[in-house]
Amino acid sequence: MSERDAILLVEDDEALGAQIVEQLEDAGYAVSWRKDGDAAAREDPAAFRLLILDLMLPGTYGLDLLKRYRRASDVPVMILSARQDTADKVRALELGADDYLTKPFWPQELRARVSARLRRPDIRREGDPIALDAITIDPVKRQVLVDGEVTPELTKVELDLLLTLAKRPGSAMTRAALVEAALDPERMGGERTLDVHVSRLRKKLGRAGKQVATVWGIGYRLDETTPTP
Amino acid sequence: MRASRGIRARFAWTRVLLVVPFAVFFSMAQTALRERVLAEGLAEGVRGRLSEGRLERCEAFPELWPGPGGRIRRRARRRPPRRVDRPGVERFFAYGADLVSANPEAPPFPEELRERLGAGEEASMLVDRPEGRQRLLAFRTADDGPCAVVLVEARAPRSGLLPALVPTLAVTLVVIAIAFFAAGPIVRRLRRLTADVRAARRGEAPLVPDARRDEIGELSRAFAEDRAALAARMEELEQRDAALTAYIANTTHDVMLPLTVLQGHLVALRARLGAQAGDARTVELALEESHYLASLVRNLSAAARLDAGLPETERRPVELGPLIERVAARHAPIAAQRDVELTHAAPSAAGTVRGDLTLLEQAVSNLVHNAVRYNEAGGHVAVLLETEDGAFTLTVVDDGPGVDDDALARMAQRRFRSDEARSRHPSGLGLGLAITNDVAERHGFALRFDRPAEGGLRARLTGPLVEGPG
Repeated sequence: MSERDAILLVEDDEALGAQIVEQLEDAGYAVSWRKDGDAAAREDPAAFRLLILDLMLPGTYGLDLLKRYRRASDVPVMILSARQDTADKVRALELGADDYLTKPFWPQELRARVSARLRRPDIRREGDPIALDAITIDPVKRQVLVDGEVTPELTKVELDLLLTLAKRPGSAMTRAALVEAALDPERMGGERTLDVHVSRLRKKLGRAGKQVATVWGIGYRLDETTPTP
Repeated sequence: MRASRGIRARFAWTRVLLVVPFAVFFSMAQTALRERVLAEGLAEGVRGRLSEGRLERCEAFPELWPGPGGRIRRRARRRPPRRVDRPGVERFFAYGADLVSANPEAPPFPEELRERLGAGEEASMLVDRPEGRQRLLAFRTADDGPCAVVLVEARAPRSGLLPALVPTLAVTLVVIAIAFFAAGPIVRRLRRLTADVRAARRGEAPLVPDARRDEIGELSRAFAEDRAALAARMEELEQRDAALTAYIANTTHDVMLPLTVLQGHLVALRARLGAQAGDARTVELALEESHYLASLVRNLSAAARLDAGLPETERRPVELGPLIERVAARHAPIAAQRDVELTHAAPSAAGTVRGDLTLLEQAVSNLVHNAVRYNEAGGHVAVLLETEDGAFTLTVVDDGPGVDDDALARMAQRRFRSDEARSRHPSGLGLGLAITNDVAERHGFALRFDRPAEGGLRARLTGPLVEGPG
């Protein structure tokens, strides 16, 4: 995170509000906390990158606040709800909320949802080199560098595999999806062949080979960082 | 229609059953009485005729008396016209006290009549002869002598039971026919009442009671009152149910808030304790319990909603990709703490289903919760979404110890039943699984459990996708 992202938290419960503020500030966000709907209604939503809104508030009802914010700005809104029915959530999503979190939630859960909401859209242009920790992929030259050094030449399948994984770094992809994306199904067979290609790809990546992680029960994932042993 | 025929037929049968035995009895009594009257009339008539010096002649010429063919020669005298109930005397015969006649033309004294007469004064009986029915009448005229007993043969009219019954039965049939048609309006009113009650039950029309002050009107008013009482009771129950649902929702809310704070504190505490093995373990156990507690409250809340039925209004398009991410994020902290690797994968365009957001999320969450909870350190749990041809397959697979065949079979059968879920499975495992099964069923999804070749357990939820929200 280059600069501290500003988050507006609207939560009436003292203990929970204080905790969320602490958790998000620890994660590096700048949090403004409003404890009632009327105070929150005076805030300009456009001044924040994310709004976290409790649906049950004194003063203005959470959904009214959501409507007001939505009229003013497209800033992402995450709803906090303790209700286990669906009507409130459905209503909130219909009114333009982007995500919701039901209580109780873990601090880690909150941070994961917040960071997912704040993930900046990929502004990389088609053909720009992709840098993921030690690995840099140049899709135009069809060349891969590890720590700035050009790797032994990758086969078409190996490069396609790496590019496919690099499109969603950090996300696991199923073997079936990778076979479909990188292998010619008529000529090169199925998931066993895939494992052989991955194994060769890892070898060619040398030290960064570990970034191509095996995901149990699913397939493979390209990690954004090299796992520390 | 059946009912109306039934009631009329019953009316008719009741009459037949009551009237026919009575008519038969009445006719029999009537016939017997008539016989007696006729016999007495005959005896009286004969005695009268014999008193005019004829008996003296018999005493004188018993072998010739009363005349050729047993017939008394009638003198010209004024007689009243013959009455129907005084059948004509045909023949006379005289017998001695030993019942043997001096007249050779006289028939032997009938055996049965002899028994009936005995030592009495008079006896009569009916006999059927080829030439017709006859009444035999015997009476004593003297203690002894050749003409002590006179036997009279007289014509007797046919007077069976059936002819006597005919008029009675005819009247009965007419009465029954009248009753059958007279029941028409009653049957029609009953039929209309039945239709009204049914229409009211289907909610097509309110039940308007029959205003007439008779039994059917009373019945329809009773129905209307009953209906009103039932409606009031239903409304009361619905209000109570709504209040209870609201109470559960509020209580859940009240529990979830402090539980969130508690979890936050426990996580902070665990972080501060770092590598202090014993204390850290204690906090980790507390974290697991709190996680479990949250799951339990969520499941109880889901159970209450399933109990109440799923309102269509709460069904909306649900994106499966974010749903899986939310579920994975919910269980990731506990999985990490247990050293179970929890991973998930979904295609970038994961697909949308139509359903209840909270219940679907809880259904998947229960599968993941069980997979993590019953796995061992170093184990894996993968949540995998695949879509093909407008259908999705959501797989939760683990490499834990798995379950045996019996348990596998039971898992797919478990359904949520409030009584059982609370009493027999206090651990909440059964409740979670039952809710997942139930939610899948109510959404029209299929949930199957099996064991992959490598061991562990695999749950697969499959169902149709809908057009995404865009």
